[in-house]
Amino acid sequence: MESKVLIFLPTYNDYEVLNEIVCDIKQTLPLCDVVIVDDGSMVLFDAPREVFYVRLPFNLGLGVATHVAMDFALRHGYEYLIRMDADGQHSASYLSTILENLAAGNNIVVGTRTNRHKEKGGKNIFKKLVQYYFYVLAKITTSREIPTDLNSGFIGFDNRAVHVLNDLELDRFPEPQIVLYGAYLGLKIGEVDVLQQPRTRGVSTVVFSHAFRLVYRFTMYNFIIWTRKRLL
Amino acid sequence: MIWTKLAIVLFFFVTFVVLVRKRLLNIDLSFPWFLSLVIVAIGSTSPLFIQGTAKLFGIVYAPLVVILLVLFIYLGLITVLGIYITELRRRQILIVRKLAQYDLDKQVNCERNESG
Repeated sequence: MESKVLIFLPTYNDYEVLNEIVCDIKQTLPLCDVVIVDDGSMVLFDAPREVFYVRLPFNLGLGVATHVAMDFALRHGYEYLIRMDADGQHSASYLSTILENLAAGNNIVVGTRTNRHKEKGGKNIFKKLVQYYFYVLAKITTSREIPTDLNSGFIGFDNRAVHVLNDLELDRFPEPQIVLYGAYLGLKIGEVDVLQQPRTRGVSTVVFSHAFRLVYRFTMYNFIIWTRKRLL
Repeated sequence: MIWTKLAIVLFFFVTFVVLVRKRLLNIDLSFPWFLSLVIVAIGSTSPLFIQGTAKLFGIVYAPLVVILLVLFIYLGLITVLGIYITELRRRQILIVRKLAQYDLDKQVNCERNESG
């Protein structure tokens, strides 16, 4: 099964731990393939020989990087595609669990970060509120059970999910869009608990000011689905 | 009077729904323009905001600033619509995806050649 697995690492100016992540992945799943999609970083990266590496000419967002990985998975007949973050926050030890869940019949498996709200403070309360809003809104729109962590970047797809999602137009931060549209389009979505490692280098791409944009974007996705289902 | 106001609101709502439904209104690109519209709408209820902005831009007749700001925002929204109606961004993304596949296919072929 491993030889039909493609691990996708999207990156943007985040190279410090990429080699370590690739080593971890190769130790966990020695037969899988790894593709690094560089979303137009400022610095050039000398990719290890055992991975496929492509650099987009300019920054187009995570959605386009995901499409590139999906195109590659479809063209070369990979059975499963798993996306991990390139900042080292996702441990390769969970790859097997995600694969088992995909093999059990799920089309999409989300790695729900069980320790994502451990830190204290006003920022965390705000994050919790945003996440809860996402969850409730998505549940109402899709009328089905969905994963609790809609912003997780640790996601596995089977071939069918890749086919279905690659026909959509994924946006700059596509994680909630993927889960929401996946649920709407009738894909089977599972979730596994994962522990997110603390960030040691770099900064999050999602900062406080992005929260308003995320809420707007997610509300619009729900609005689009709602109009498709009921209005037009 | 109330019916005219309701009709205007309904017209804008239906236009908005159709644009969103047809994916002509990009969620990412339209965000700053809608946010600006909300800020101008709230700000224009305060004479302090209108007079301050008019002074900033050197406009003698202060209420004109609201019209000019809204026109500017509409111009931005029309540009966003133009990008999507002409499918400029979609085509640009398709080219990038094709080039990326070409690059990756070359690496796959190299790997196959090396492994015999």
